[in-house]
Amino acid sequence: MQPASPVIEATNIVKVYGGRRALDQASIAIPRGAIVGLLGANGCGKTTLLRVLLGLLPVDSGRAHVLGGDARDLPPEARARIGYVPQSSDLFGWLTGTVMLRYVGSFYPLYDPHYAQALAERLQVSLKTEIQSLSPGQQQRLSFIRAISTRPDLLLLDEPMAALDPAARLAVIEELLLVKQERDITVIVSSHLIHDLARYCTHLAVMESGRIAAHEPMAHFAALTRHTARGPEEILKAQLFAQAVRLRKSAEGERSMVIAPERLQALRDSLPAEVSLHPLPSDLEAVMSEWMR
Amino acid sequence: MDALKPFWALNSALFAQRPWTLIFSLLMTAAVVVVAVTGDGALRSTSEFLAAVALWCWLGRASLRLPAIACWAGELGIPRHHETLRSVQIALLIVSLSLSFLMEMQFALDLRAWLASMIISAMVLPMATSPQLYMGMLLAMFVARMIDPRILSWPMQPAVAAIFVCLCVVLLVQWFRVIRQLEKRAAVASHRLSDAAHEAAHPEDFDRAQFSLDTSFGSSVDSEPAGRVSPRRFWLGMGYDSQSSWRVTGYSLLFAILALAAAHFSLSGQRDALAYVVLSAGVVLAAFGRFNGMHEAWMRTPHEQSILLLSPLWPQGARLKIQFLRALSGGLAGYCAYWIGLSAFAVVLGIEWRTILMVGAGLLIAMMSICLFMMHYVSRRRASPTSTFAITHAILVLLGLGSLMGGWGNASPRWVLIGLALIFLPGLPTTYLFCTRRMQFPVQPPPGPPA
Repeated sequence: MQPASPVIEATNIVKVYGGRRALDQASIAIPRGAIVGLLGANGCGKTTLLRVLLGLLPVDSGRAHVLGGDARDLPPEARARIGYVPQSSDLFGWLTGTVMLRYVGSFYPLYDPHYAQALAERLQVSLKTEIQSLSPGQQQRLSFIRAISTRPDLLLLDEPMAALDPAARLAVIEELLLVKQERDITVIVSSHLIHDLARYCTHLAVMESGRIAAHEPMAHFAALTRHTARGPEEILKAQLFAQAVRLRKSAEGERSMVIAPERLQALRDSLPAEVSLHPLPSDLEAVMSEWMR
Repeated sequence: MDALKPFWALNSALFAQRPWTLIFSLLMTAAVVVVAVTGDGALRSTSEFLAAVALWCWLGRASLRLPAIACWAGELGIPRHHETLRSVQIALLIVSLSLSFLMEMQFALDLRAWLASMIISAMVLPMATSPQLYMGMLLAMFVARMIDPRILSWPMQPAVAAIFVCLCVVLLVQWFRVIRQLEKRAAVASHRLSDAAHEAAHPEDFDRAQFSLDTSFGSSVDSEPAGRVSPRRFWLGMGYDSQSSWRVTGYSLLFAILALAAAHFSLSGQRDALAYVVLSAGVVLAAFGRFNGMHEAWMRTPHEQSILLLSPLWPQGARLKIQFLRALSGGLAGYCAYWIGLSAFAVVLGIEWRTILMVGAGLLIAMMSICLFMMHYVSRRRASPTSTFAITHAILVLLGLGSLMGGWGNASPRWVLIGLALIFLPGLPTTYLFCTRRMQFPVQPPPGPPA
């Protein structure tokens, strides 16, 4: 079977902000129907990448294609298929939820006011209150409602659940999965909530210093383990570097590492007796936290 | 939004909590009326000065109350109080400096005294930080003028002037730092409004919409067909209501006509023409306030603009620029109505056509320049609260206006041509950039740490 054509394809994107490279040769291809979690430390370029993909930021070099068109000049048909939830949630704070949805929805041919109303009831968002007077959690939910009530095929969410309590996060995730069941939408979600991403993402992309350091199916990351290796410095330096996905000097004569299971056995076989390997808790959150340290 | 509401809200907050200001202003106003009606000769000529003192008193109190009003506005959830207050601050500054300029015209001092007085006028600025200094300065100026207007030339001594200039710079910085105080207070107020406690409350119980001054936004959304981007809907997405209020225009015109009539019947010589010029210049002040509000709204809504730009029916490219220009010029009808009404009354009072035409030309140029400033800001690659180019442009236009008016008055074609060149040439690069560059929409905030 032919692999699905990418909905998003960014190649060697460079974006410089005030002399600093916010994006440094960032490349990513996202297949149709994928839910991709975008992970990375603060300031690594996640928001910048999302804004470049949406054509909201000019790039210094590289190219980005979204839904088959150049991101900087998306035709109205392509824009109608995109939903976006920016990081800032108190958007259109001077309007009530109802007016904001009507206002933004009026620029979308597929906006469904009944669906928006139903979503607001399910997610318990007051539409009669001025948005600036809502709590941050309600503002984020409203932002999510605005984005999906236009029936998009591609959804870009920039930290959409940072201010939500666990119950609200679950409700939003369930809504997202429901939409995914109904239509084969593609989602990119930037978040620091690794445990949540593991519940609904099909892929993870890890950003480091403006680059996509890894972009693999979720199963790949779920299989990674953490270990500590202790032994003579020279052996650790020589032996570990080639095998570990991530390697960090945690103390003199000690390395913390993230390693794939197929490499682990090979590493064990190759290490001399004076080097010992100790497994560490290896749930996804622990592994990815180690990765991003 | 009805522009009168924040104005009345501001006034009631000012006077309800500071009755002595109101009493003093009323007493001074009464004194002005009495002196203007019953006085004669030298005594009568002090009526403008008394009026200015009353106005200055109000201005000083208004400035002192700005941070408190910001806090109050933030707590009430009044939207865009930053912009409103910044506009008020700039208006206070311009009005207070204009007042001193008018007083110089009234007392007809020589150039040195005029310059000296302008320096002293800059000392009006301490009203933001020190009411005692402000009132003391007013009193000193008043006494000095009563004794001998030329006594004020002593600040033109180099050493004294240097001290004054330094002091003025410090005070000017203080004045503009008030906005930071406002923002901090508003941020604190906003934080209090959005704390976690509200999550627990039932959403319907926390309906603050009753405090909103922007209830008309909803009707604007409903009154127009889906997908249509009218000038008002264009700015609505950025939280600025660009609709002209005919009621405000009507009240302003009525006030201006009364003031012009008062000037005509109480002042001597050509002073009614001067009053007409000043009242017409109010249009420029209003247009500048509008421009400032639009600029602020545009600067602080990058995310909202992102969402709008991604909307399929939102205009793109050249259409976006056309919509922007339409939205920018949306308030011109109200300004034109005001000026035409005032000018018609001026004609009835016998003010010369030549003066009216000159004022009309000046207003047209000022409007055009204000539009060009905004076009300049959106044509840049990155947003900035100020622009050296825009400031230079403004100075050149002012010089050009001076040259044009002077040349016109003295029938000197050379100075008219120089004036026209100074007015129109700086606009050419802006027009070129606006036509050729991609418009900065969404706004690209100044460089900072990337997210």
